[in-house]
Amino acid sequence: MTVGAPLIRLTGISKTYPAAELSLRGTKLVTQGPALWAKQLARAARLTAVSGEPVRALTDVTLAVYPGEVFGLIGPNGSGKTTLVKIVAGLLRPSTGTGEVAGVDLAQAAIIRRRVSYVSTTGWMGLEWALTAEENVRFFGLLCGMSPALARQRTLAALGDVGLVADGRKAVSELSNGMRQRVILARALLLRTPIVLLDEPTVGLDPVHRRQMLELVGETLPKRGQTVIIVDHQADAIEGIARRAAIMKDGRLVGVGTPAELLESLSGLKVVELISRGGAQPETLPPRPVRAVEQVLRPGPLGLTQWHLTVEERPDALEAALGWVLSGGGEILQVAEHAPHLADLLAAQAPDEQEAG
Amino acid sequence: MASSVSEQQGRHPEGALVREARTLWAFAVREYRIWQSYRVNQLMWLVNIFVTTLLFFLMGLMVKGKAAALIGGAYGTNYMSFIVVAIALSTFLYTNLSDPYTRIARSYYNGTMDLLLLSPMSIFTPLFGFMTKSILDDYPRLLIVGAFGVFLFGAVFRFQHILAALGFTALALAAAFGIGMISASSFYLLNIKRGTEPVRFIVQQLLATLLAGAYYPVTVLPKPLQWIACLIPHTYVFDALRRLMDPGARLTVPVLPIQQVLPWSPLVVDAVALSAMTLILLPLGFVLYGQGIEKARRNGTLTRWQ
Amino acid sequence: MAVIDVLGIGKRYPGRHGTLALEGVDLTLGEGAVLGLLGPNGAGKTTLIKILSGLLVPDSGGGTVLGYDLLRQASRIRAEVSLVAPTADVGIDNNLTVRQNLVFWAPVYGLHGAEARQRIDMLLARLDLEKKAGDWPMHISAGQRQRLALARSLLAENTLVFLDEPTNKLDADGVRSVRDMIRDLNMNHGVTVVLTTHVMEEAEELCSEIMFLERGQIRRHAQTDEVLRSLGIVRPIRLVLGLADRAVFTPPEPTALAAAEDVSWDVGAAPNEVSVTVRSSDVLATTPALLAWVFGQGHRLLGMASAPVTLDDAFATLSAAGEAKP
Ligand SMILES: Nc1ncnc2c1ncn2[C@@H]1O[C@H](COP(=O)(O)OP(=O)(O)O)[C@@H](O)[C@H]1O
Ligand SMILES: Nc1ncnc2c1ncn2[C@@H]1O[C@H](COP(=O)(O)OP(=O)(O)O)[C@@H](O)[C@H]1O
Ligand SMILES: [Mg+2]
Ligand SMILES: [Mg+2]
Repeated sequence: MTVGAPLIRLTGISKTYPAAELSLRGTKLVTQGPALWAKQLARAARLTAVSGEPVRALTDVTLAVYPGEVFGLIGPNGSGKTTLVKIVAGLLRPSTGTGEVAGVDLAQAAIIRRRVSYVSTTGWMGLEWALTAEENVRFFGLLCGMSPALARQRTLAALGDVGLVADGRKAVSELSNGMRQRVILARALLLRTPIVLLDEPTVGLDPVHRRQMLELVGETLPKRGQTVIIVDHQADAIEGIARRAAIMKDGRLVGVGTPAELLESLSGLKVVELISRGGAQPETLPPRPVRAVEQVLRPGPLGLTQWHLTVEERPDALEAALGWVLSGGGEILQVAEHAPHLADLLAAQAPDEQEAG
Repeated sequence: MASSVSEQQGRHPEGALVREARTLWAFAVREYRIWQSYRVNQLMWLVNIFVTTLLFFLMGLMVKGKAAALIGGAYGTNYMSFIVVAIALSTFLYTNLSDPYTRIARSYYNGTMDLLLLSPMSIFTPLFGFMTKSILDDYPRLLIVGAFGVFLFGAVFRFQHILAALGFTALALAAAFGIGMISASSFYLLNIKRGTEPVRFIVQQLLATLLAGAYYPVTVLPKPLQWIACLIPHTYVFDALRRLMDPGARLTVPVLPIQQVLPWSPLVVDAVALSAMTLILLPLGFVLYGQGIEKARRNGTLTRWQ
Repeated sequence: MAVIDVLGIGKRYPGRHGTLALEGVDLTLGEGAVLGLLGPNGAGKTTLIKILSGLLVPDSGGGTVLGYDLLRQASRIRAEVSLVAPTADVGIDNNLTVRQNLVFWAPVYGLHGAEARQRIDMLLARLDLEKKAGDWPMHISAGQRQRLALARSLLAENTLVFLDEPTNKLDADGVRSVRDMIRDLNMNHGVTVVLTTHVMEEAEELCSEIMFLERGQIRRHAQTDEVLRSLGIVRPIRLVLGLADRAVFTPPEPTALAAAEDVSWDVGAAPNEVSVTVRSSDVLATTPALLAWVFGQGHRLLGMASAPVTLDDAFATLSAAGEAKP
């Protein structure tokens, strides 16, 4: 699939948000309307100062996404995923770097915005509360220049895609949290633009609708010829549907490739998940084949402990791991070994982030 | 922590009232911080007060010499004194009347309201808390209008009846706050969450602006409108304060139609009217507001999140 | 005494469509429980939380929360429960810094002076927000905002806490820290928790009991392990064994392995290896017996994978059962 010219091409993109403006006494200044020029005067008169450092949200991001691809972006909160998506959507101007989206230079944001659909994390702010879900979606189509007949038909299809046909007659103010999120998704599916940008689209969806949503993104949208960039903090969502993914950290791309390629850095390791009951913390350090241990206590009367062990791929590794856990007493109720997932990859990166910070 | 209820009460034997007071103080501090953060706007605010006062000064120049004839015998001879009383009081009345609704709406939209309700304070405390803003915003305004009026534009006041004047002001503010509460209650009671709230619009935008006699004495209006003017607190407090504070004003000459009808002295009429309004509107405001919250609790319109 | 004890709770929202959001919901929740409210979008989870916290009046039913009457003493209930809404933006003032936000709320809960300062410092530390204390809420991450919302609700030291989708929008670290916080509250401070979540793994990790709601009705309410066990789903446990004695291999008797249905085996990749598959209706009960057998026989355990029944399965089973109904 990764052949031909990229549909989205970014080269050396960086973004720095300016620092917040504070008065000398440390209060934040909010500026509205005519006060804007007063602020400039105030700054000239040294009544205010710029606080702290500007925030560097993206550093030298170079990326190509090909037509028909589902491309995933993963990384911790604050790693710059939203910033990157906003730049692609033409909503944010990069500080440096160049790029092209659907054949249009990044500088021509107005044209780009007509070729992308965008679901933002806080998108429900943009819904009109007094109107029904159906009206919200349909009027959006009309505003974008659809004929009434087409808007009606597409709205029905989009509401169907997100499983909201019956509840579509309710006013947005009467919808539950997850339903509101699905209205936003339906709105983004309406125009069938060449590019669809989804920033954490499955937040708040129940497991069934979440699976449907991911299926839709992974299968239906590519079939319609749409190219998708999807951001999700749950890496497993990306792993299931994205052909390729990028891992972001501190504003940089630290890896791009198919999920299998990305996981190569963890080759030779596997994950052992255990649940134990009773028993104390083992007194010794974990034996050699065990590289990392994460454990959590479950509330409740049963006294269960959940273990997430990263171990070397060796014949004696499992027994060593079990033996070590059992050395604290108690019994093991569940054992499951599996190859590492993208989520484990993200977790594996966390420690050196803390060292850096 | 398991016995936090009794512990909390044990720790704070001063009781509910003191806690409410501390809560109000917290509101005031918060409003102050927010006010500070919009400080550059305070410059605009100052300019705005100056321009308004200047405008009436210029009008005052126009009517110079004819002022006594225009504003009638009761309110003295100085148009600037006449007008400054109205501008200064209007600010307060406007706040008490309009702010409850606006602040309730804002706290509903940013989601603070339901959290305020989910706490040990009474349902009315947030309302009072939001009003602490007026102390920050209005009291300085009063002083500034007064100062501009007196030092720049030649307004003159008598201060020998200042206590009575303060009493009238307090009554009018209470009555206006009652109307404000009624207006705020419609946010939940009538579910008016967008657009113009009718109570506020009718009393403040229509009646108070046109009929209360802020810029001219009510006597210039046709008789039926003069009677309508007698329905709102603004009319009485303007009348009373002008009589008490403006130079050359007379305490005994009736101006308002109701003063001409009733056998009492005009100031007594003002006092009775304002007291009656306070006694009716303030409790009514509280009751309606409480009912509004209860209705929202039934209809599920109290919170915006789902 | 039960912290929550309500019976027959029903709620129909007024309005054009008059959604029946809850119907005949009974709930008794003991002190120190962590109840997970699960169910599809629109099942009525939030509605139930609003009713139990006194923000919404039920149409029918009643009972007590924290010993107060749900209908007549709702203001007492509101005063003594904590609630965190699904969007962390609820109740955070963007004009105040992280610390100032907490400072504002402290006196609301009767905290002042040095005591308030100490508690705020403690919460900032516990929720890992110390470094952000002076920052504006819009400049911190979603996870940090969610923790600020939690900190605000914890100022009160209430013994009953409602959390509506508390880990929405958080990354792995954020999820971890919020879950740790909930666990700490419950296990170390005895706080009773009612939470909703769409992440089944989270419910499994945190909740001592589970209530499945669908279209306003309870489909199932039981201890978490009982919910899983009662589904009657049979799942395989696969082992790869290195034989103690390569000549003989006697598979275990299913009857000796609690809840095991049957055992099958096959020769493995290497000459002294076998792969064994045990199908069980209760993996958590079978596994210890199976491990005991493996070690008792002196075999070496080379690999083991089980697909235990999870709340994901429970969700699928229970909501499918709901759909099958007319
Ligand atoms: N409007 C803004 N002003 C200042 N800083 C911002 C703004 N938006 C984001 N940031 C900062 O930029 C960084 C990247 O943020 P974001 O792109 O939202 O990350 P992600 O989506 O991966 O969570 C963070 O450090 C964040 O605090
Ligand atoms: N304020 C409201 N007005 C009208 N209907 C509502 C309101 N809140 C929720 N509903 C309806 O009630 C049902 C249950 O909603 P909710 O309790 O928010 O579900 P959940 O939290 O389980 O997703 C949904 O069908 C929803 O549309
Ligand atoms: Mg983001
Ligand atoms: Mg909900």
